[in-house]
Amino acid sequence: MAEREDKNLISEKEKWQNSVNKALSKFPERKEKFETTYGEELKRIYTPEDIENLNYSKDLGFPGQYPFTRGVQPTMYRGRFWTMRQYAGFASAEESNKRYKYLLSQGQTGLSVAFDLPTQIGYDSDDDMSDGEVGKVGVAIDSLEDMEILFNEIPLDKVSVSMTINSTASVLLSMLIAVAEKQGVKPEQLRGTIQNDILKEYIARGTYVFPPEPSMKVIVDIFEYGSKNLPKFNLISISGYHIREAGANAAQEVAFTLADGISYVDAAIKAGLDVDVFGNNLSFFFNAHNNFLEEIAKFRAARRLWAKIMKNRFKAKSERAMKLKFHTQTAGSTLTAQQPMNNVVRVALQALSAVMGGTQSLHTNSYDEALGLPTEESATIALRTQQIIAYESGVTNTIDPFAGSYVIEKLTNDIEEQAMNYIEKIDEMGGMVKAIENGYIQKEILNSAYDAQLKIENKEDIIIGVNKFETDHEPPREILKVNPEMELKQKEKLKKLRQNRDNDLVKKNLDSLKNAAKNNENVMPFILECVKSYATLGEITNVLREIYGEFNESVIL
Amino acid sequence: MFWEKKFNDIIESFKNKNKYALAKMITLVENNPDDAWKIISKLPKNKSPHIIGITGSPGAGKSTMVSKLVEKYSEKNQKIGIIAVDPSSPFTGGAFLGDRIRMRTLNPENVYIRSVASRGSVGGLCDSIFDIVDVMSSYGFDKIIIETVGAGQSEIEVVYVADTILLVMSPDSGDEVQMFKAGIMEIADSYIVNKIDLQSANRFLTQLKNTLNLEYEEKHLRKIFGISAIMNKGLDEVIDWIDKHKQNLYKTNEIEDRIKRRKVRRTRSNIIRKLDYTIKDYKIEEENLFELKDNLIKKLTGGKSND
Amino acid sequence: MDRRIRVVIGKPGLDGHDRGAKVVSRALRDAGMEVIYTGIRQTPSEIIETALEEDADIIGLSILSGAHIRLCEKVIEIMKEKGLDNVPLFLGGIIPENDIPQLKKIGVTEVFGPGTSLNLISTRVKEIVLGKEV
Repeated sequence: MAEREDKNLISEKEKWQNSVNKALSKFPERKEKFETTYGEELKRIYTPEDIENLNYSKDLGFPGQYPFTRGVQPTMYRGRFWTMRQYAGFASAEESNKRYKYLLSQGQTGLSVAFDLPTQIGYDSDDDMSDGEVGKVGVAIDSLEDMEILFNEIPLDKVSVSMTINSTASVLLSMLIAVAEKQGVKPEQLRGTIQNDILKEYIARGTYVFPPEPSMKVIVDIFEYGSKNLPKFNLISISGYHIREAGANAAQEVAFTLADGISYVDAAIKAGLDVDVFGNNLSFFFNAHNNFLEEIAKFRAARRLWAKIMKNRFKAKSERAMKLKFHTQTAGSTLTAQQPMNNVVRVALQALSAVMGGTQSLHTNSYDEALGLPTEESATIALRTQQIIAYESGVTNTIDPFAGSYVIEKLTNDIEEQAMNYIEKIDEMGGMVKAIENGYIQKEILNSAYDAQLKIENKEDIIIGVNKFETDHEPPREILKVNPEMELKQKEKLKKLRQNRDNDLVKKNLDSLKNAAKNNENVMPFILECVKSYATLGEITNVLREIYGEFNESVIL
Repeated sequence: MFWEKKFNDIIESFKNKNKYALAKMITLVENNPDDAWKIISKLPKNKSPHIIGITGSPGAGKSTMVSKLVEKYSEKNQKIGIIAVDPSSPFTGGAFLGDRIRMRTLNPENVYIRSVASRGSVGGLCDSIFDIVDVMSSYGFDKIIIETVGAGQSEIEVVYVADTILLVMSPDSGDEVQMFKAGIMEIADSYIVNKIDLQSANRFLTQLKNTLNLEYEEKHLRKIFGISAIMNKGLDEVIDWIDKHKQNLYKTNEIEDRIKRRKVRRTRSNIIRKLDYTIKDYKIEEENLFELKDNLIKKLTGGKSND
Repeated sequence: MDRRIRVVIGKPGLDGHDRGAKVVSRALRDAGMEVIYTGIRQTPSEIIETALEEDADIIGLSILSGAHIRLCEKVIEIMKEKGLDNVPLFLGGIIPENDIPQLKKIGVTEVFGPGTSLNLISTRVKEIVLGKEV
C-alpha cells in the first residue's frame, strides 16, 4: 500500500510541476530564489519525500523524552504556561523596585533584572568610566545596599529572578544570596538564572572585563559553588540572543550558542564537576526572529542537537542533564523606529514562534524600544501579547503542533545539520575560545549582518515601513528619559556608604579575595564575604582586574 | 605646487612637535608620492631612531606585543612612533585599519600610532613606508616600530626598512608550520614565541631551535624568546636584546650593509611605483603589449631605448 | 595625487553593541575609504586622539545608549581644544528625531537614524569630505 502511495505521489507531483511551469510562464514568482536566513534555497513545496529518513521515535519521540525535539516536559503548556518574564530595570533601585511590583501585580510570573552598563562592567557609579551611563540601560547597583532596595518586599522564595549579568555575575549572585539571607530565604530556595555567559560577550555584546581564560575560571567557580548551594538556580544562560542580534542567521545562532555551551561543559568537567549534576543547572537563551517557520524549526533543532551532544559527546546519563531549557526574547533588532506600532504585530508573531518552539520563558519587546526605554504603557502591551497567546489563541492546548509538517521537520533537520558542521569546524580550530580569539566567529556573524543589510537595501527583503509602505512624516513620539539627577543621587549614596561601613573589614575581605584569586582558589565564598561587608562592586572587580588583567578585542572586518 | 601650500601651513607646528602636524605631514607624503622627496628634504634633520620591524602571522599576538613593549618604553620616557600596516582591498582600494584597538592603553604623551593601508603594495608594507619613516624620524622619536600586515610568509619587505626584525609566532597556530619553510624565517633577527603558557609551547620551541641554523646566532646575535605578551612575561629580556642588537649592528658594521640595501630598495620601489602609474595611463591592447615596453622605456629615459 | 578618504569610526560610552559600527565600517571600506575603527568603550578624548593621530577626514560615532547629546557635546569640545574644529562629525545609532536639531546646533554635521541605507551613508560621507575641499 505504501508503495502504491509513493508511486501515486510521484505522478501527482509531476502533474503539479506541469501546472507550475504553466503558471510560471504567465506569472513569474515574486522572487527568483527564495532562501532561508542561512542561505539555503527554500523549496516551493515540501512533501513526504523531504523527510523520507525521518524516524519518529528516534528523531522526534515524545515530549519530555530523549531527544526532546517535541519539548522538555511531558505536558508542556497544558500543565503550566511558560514564565512570562519581562526584562526591566532602569535608573535607581527604588524606581526599578516599583516597576517590578507593578509587573508582578499585572500577572508577570518572574523578574528579569536589567543592570546599567557600569554595573555590568564592574564600575561603581562614581567611577570616571561611568560618567553619563548610570541608570541608563538598567538599574545601577553599587553595593548590597542597592540590592536590598531592589528586592524590598519581593519574596525571593516565591519569585524567580533572572539577572542579565556576565562579567560581574559572581558579585551580583553573591548580593542576591545575601539579600535572600536577610529576608530569611535560604540559598537552596532561590530560583532564577544568572546569564553568566562570557563567551558571547566577546562575540557580540561587549561587556567583558577579563581575558577569556580567567573569565572561564570564574564561571567554573560559580558552577562549583552553585551546584552545591543553589540547586534550583540556573547558573548560566548560554545566550544565542545577542549573537543573533549581532547579525547571525538562524543556523549560526544555534551553532555558536551550542559551541559556547560545549566550552562551558568542557571547562566544568575539567574542574572535576559531574556532568549529570551541573548539566541540570544549565539553561539557554534564544532569539525569536522574523521568519516564523524557520524559527520554530530552530528551537526544535537546538533542543535535539544539545541532547545528542550531552549524551554522546559528554556521556551524560541523567536525562535531566540532556534537556535544553531556554528563555526567549523577541528580536530587538527587528523593531523599527518608523511606524513603531507595527512592532506590536512583529512581536506577537515572534512570540508565537517561541511558544510553538516550546520555550520555558519569554520576554516580549515593547514596541517603542527602537526609540528608547519602554514606557509603562508599552511594557504592558508587550506583556498582554504573551497573555493573549497563552490564554486566547488555543495554540497552547496541544503539544508541539507543528511536528510532522514536512517543511518544519525538514528545516529542523537542516538547521541541526548546518549547526553541526559549524561545531565541527570550531572543534578543528581548537574550540570556541580559539575561534573567538582569531576572530572567526565575529567575522562569520558580520558577514551575515552585512548581507542581511544589503538584502534590505536592495529590497530583496522587505521591512514594512522602512523599505516598503513608508509614510512621509510621522509625529515624533514621547520618549522615556532617565532623570540626570539620578546619577548625582546615586553618587551621594555611595559616598555615604563608604563613610558608614566598617572599612577595616572591607579591606580585610578584599585582601582575602585577592589572595584567593592569586592562588587560583574558588573566589565565590570570598566575594560573598566582601559583599556582606558592603564592599562595592567596583572595589571587588578592581581586585580581580589586578590579578586577571583586562581584555582588548581584535576586530577583523 | 599643490602640496606646498599645505606644507607651509603645517611646517611650523611640525617643528614645534605638534602631533596633528605630524599626522598631516604623513598624509602629505602618502598622497603625493612623486613629491615626497622634495617634502622630506625640507624637514629638519634629527638623530636616527632605532627602527624595529615586527612581523608574523595573524593571531600570533603582534599588536599585543607591540603594545606591551611600547608600554615599557613609555615608562622609561622614550618617545615611540608606531606604524601599523593593514591590507587595502585590491578591488575598491578601501581598507580596514584595526591594529590600534589593541594598543589603546598606550600613553599618548609618549606614543604616536599611525595606521597605514598597504595601497596595493605586496610584501607586508606600503610603498610610502620609507617616506613615512623619514617624516617620523624628522619629527623625533627614539624608536619607530613597524608592524607588518601579518598575512604570512611572503612579508619580507620589512627587512629593507627596519634595523632590527622580530618575528612573532604562536605555538597554537597552524600557519607557523608553513613559516618554517618560507623566507620569512631567514629575515628575522629574533624569534618571539608568544603565548608561552600554552601546553604546546615547549614542543614548538624545540622544533624551532632544531630548524634554525644556530651558527648564525652568534654572528647576528640571533635569539629565540619565549614570552607571554598578555601576561607580561619575558618582555624585559626582549627589550634588553633589542638594545644589544642595535649596538651589535654598529659594532660589526652590519648597519652599513643594511642601510645600503635600504637605499637600493627605496630606489627600486620608487621606480616601480612610477612605472605602475605610467602603465595605468596607457591604453593597453592585446596587440600592443610588446610595443608598450619600448614606449615605456623611451618615456622614462627621455626618448632613448636601450633595447 | 593618491587621495584616500580616511574615516575614524568611534564608539563612545560603555555600550558594546557594535553591529552598526562594524557594518558601517565595512560599507565605507567597500566604498573605497580607509576606515579606522576605535573599538568599543572609548572615551571622547580617546576617539579624538585617534582622529588626530590618523589625520581623519571625518569622524563617525555610533551611540545606542541614549547618551548621544552629552557625548557629542564632549567630543566637539575636545575637537575644538585640539584644533580639529574643521573635521566633520557624523552620528548613527538610536537617535530620536526630536534630538536632531539640537545635535546639529552643537556642531554635528549629519545624523543617520535607524534604517538609513548604507549606500546613503557612504555617499553622504564622500560628499561631506570632498565637498569641504572644494
